[in-house]
Amino acid sequence: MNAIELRDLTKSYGKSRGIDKLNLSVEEGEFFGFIGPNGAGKSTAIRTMLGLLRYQSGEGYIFGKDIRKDKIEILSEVGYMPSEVFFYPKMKVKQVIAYTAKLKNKKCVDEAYKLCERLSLDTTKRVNQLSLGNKKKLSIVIALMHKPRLLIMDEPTSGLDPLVQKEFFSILKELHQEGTTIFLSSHNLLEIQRYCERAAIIREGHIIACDYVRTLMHSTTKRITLTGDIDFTIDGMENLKKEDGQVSFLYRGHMKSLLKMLSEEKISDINIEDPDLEEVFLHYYKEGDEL
Amino acid sequence: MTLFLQELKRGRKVLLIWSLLVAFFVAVCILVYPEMKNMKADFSNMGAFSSAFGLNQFNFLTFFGFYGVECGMMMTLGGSLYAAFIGINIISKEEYEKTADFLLTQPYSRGKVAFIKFIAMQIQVILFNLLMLIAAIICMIIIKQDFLVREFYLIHMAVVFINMVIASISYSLSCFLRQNGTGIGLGLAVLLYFVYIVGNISNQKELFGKLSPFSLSDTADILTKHVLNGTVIIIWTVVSIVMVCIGLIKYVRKDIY
Repeated sequence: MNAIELRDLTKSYGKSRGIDKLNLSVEEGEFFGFIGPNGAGKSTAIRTMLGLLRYQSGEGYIFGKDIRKDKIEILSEVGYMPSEVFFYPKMKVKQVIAYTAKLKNKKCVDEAYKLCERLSLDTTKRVNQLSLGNKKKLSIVIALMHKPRLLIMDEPTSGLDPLVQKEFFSILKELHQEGTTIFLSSHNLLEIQRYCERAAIIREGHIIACDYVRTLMHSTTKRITLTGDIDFTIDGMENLKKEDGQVSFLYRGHMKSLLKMLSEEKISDINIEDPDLEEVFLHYYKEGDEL
Repeated sequence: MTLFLQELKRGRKVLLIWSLLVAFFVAVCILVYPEMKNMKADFSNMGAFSSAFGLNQFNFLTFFGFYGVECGMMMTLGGSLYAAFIGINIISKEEYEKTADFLLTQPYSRGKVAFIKFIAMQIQVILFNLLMLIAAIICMIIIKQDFLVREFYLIHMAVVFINMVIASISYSLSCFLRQNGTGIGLGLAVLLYFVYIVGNISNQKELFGKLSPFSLSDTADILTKHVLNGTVIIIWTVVSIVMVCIGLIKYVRKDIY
């Protein structure tokens, strides 16, 4: 069963585009990355899935349940961490935890305290005394405490220091191993590359690529880096840069043709590799076609 | 129940402050009444001012005449400002303080959240009025005034009704707002009170009376007819129900940014 299934989901804000006929499938148990720059429609897609925004057309299902009709059942199985974190400022952390557990009607306070301990979050402080990083930690605890089947996170690591980020991903990996589906929306491509099995790239409200991360990276395009100099151009060569005796470019074409050209040049070393996810991402955004 | 109790908890300080403030003025009024018994002529010959508050239509210096005008005004206006304040913020506060993301991603339907908040708001209005009633009874015991009198309870019932109407209308507006609407809520309460006062000094008292729920608190009506004005009750009950339903429909369909 798919954890998330969106079909032609459309949400606009008056004349402004939000998401436009968005199609997306995330299988149950996946660690899924959702990539796109500001304004691409990532948060709109997430907020529409959670019922915070009302979509105009299309369909959306979470664990086979309709995102509009079965919202309450869906929300009881979902943990959500928004990009901007706000809680009732006068409440103490432990009160937020107790209140959330009651709202969810689940005995999950002990789990919340375990998470607080792992993330070094002081439960006696009031929300308005917490730093941004600590508010983010509280948001993590709130999203995870009831052990949801699906975890939706929108830019979860911004504001977290590297040590907490490491612990956070270690918690996520444990949950993933236990079967939780993780939907991670992030600007941080390294995170997606490191942790996600599959990823989708969203541009101007619709998905322009969706595949296994390794497939996205292991495409017909290669990053070529040479020591020396070259004096030719060839079809499929892009982003040519010459710097400090090194030449680098992206190449999408027949490798045999390139090697033949290179054999006639004065080069002392050559490195051929898959582009990293950032290059793949930038490519999609600049060119707008398939890699 | 969790959300309901949380709403009451969040509102307890505001309830306490407003109750103490209005109760203080009501208490002062009741306690000075024995000193004012002999000033009837002064109060009933103040022209438009007497008309505005209905002082020319009944014996103002009977205790319940005095109570209905002076204390009634403080409780209706003070209570309505309180009702408007909590009503206008109870829904919109979640949005402008950005806690709506947290609350509305819990397994509750939006309609249920809005309805629980509505009930919590009205309970707070009733609690406010209960505190007023208790304060008034204590002060009446102090000045040895009989409080087991029908008119006394009619005055309080009118105040509760008006406060609940103002709370309901403010609540419905709150469902549309994304920002702090305190000014709108308080302005609405003052405007409706102003309509009532203008009605009292105009030739169109009947018409103006229906345009403001505050006309239900008309002490002259209560003391002479010994009942509350049924037409005003029906009109403003219908207005409140319709506005609350419109507000709920809007809130259920609203985008939360």
